[in-house]
Amino acid sequence: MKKSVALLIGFSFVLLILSLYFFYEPVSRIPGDRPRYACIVCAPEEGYWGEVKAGIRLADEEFQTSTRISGFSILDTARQVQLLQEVEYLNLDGVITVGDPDILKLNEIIGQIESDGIPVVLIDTDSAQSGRSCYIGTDNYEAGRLAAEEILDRIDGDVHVAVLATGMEKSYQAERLRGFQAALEESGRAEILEVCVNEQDKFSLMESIACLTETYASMNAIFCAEASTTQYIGLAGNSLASLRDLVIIGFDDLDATLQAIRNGFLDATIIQDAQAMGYEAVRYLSSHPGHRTGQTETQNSNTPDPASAGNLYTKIQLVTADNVDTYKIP
Amino acid sequence: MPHTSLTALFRRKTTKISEETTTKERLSAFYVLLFGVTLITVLFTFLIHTADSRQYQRVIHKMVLLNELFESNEKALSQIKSFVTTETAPPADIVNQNLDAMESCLTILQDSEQDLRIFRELQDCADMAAAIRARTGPLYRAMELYKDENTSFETVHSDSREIYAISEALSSRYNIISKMQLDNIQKSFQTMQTRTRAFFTVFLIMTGILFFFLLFQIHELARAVSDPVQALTQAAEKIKKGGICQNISVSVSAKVDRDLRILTEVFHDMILQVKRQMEIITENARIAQELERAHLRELQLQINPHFMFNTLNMISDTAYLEHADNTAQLLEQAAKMFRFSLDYAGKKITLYKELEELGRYVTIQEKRFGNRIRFLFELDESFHFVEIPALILQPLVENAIVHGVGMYTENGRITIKTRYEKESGTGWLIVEDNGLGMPEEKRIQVLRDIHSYTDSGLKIGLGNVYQRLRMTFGDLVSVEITSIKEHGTRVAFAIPLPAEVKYPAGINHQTEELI
Repeated sequence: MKKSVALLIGFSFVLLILSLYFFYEPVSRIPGDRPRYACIVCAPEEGYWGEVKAGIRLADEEFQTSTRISGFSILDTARQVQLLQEVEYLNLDGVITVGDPDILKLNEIIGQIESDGIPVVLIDTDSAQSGRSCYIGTDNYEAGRLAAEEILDRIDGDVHVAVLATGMEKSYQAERLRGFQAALEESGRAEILEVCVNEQDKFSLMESIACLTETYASMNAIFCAEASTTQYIGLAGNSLASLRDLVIIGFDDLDATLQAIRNGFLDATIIQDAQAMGYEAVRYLSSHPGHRTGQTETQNSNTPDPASAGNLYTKIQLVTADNVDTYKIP
Repeated sequence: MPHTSLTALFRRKTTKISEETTTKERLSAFYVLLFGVTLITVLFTFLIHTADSRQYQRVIHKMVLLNELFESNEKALSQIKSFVTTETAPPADIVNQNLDAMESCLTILQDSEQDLRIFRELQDCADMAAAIRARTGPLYRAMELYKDENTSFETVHSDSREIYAISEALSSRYNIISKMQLDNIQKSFQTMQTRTRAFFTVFLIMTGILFFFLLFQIHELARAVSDPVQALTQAAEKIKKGGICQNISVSVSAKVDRDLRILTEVFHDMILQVKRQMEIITENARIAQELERAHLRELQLQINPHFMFNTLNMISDTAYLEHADNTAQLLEQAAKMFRFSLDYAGKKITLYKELEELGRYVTIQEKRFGNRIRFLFELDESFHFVEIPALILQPLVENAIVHGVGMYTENGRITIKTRYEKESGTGWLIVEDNGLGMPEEKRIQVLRDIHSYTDSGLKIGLGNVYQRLRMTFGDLVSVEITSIKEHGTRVAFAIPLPAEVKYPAGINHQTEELI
């Protein structure tokens, strides 16, 4: 009898433990006093913007903040403005978004938000005239310089390089070109043959390339100032026989770009630390509630207190065939 | 196994058995286990079902609240739109009621929300609801002013557009929150299903194990009863076929029912006891048979000596009639000897009488052997009146003749001695000869044979003398044999005597003659 009772007790105890293990879920109230931010960036969940969002989520967990991420189509700035206008009705502690110096309405709304005491951090693309609190992103000038230095390292003798871009009105591309140009000029043996500005599509790019190869027989390098151009060239690959002997440096780490490096068609690409942008943006806001810097000193991301400057530059890295599979920025 | 140790063993086994379980107790334990497992299973199933139902209700409640939230929003919006377009203001408390309902729903939803993303959306919705409420008042005031022609409709229009925008933003959040909630519900249900499945899998495995354990218990229970019954039945059949005397063992394992174990062991012990009784009976029957044979032998001995005695007397008479005096005397002595054997065999006589009869034997032997053997007597008559079994000394003398001096052609000597040692209270009966003697090994063997003597028939020898003396005087009787080869042999019997020899009644103490 004792054995039976002991068995029953043991059976019940095991069942109880199993029940607790499988079904118990502690219920706790979420504290409502977390700082709330809004992040209004491009919509894609993968690739570059996916990394930005991943950085934001990491920072939220670390700093106990709550960032609502809204997406808009890359070309749909009207939607970006609409989402920013909603900020007026919300008791937010900060806003993260992408700048564009050419869109007046965007800059106005950013200014309005700042004047309401809500700090705005711009990532990826700056728009200093918007009155934002801080810019966090790549130092495009230095990125341009890095690309130029790589081309100069790979070519002995004179360098004749063409630049492919999608719009010099885009400040980040202009910045890159500025840095690129400065580095080439310093070397004294390089010249930019032409800066081709294309639509962001493959066909206009192919046309531009054909035109360049026909026109400039001495061309021995190409610099792609942004990601989509690099991607299209990478996708075209060996079909562009005329480019086979050229040194081609691109931008960002889209899959087609990396594969082209592995195949040897592209020589290198410059990648940006997108995750750091998202992370640093949240970190900045959590340490500067309702604060506006107004400063514009450039600084790299190793600075202990980036809040002392208006810009926070994230790391860039050159990816070649040597480190294409191991390059992840720590 | 001796009976006492068997009983002790049985007693020990009984003590141990009292700690074991009976069939009734096992059945009770089985029922308790079965009932308990069923009850616990039902209870846990009920609890889990209740927990699942509650969770389901919570989820439904959330969706209902969410729906109510946005319905209230829609109502408030339509009321405001209607107000703006028709210029007819709905009672402020109705609009406020909807706004209150929205805020109430939001509070409840936020309090119970565990998903950070949804919680954030609800926080934004709460801000928007507050923004609507904050702008409703100014809208009403603007409308009043417009009615009073103190302001243009544009103010009203711009204020209302703001409210519309906020309300639409709130509505768009509804879709987002609903989608998130539905995703969570789906995940939650999937998790719940997976967990429930996992739980019930483990539960079924445990119940299965317990079920097999119960089956095993039933099996053991059945065996606890059937095994001993079978063992008893087999033993009974064996007895029926071959009788109780064969080797029958009834043993059962330690797990049988206590009562049946007791029954089995008692049966086993009973068989052993019956077997023992039968052995005793058989032994007794054998002893009785032996006694009967001995009695017969005794009768035969009686019959034959009678015949021989009568025949000897007849021969003695015939010798006397034929003037063969020596022959007549010898025959007379022999007849008296046989008569003595007949009358006193198995009885006690005094040493005195024994020596008297020995004298007749010696007389016959002297006639037989002539000068070849001399018979000498060295007697201590102080204890001759002690009673000893008849025919003690004659076998000793006969041995001395047969094994000692019988082959001598001259100078053979046999000495019969009696001696009383008062200090030790010992009487000695000694027969010595100067005959062939025996080697040491033979002497030791003879002593051994004397001590292990069993009466195997008509032969009366040293062993017989020793046994009869022991039967009369106890274990203190001893025998000594000393012998030197070709020098002679000495056989001595020591009998314990009291310190003062008491003469039996009928003996003249002065003359030591029979009265």
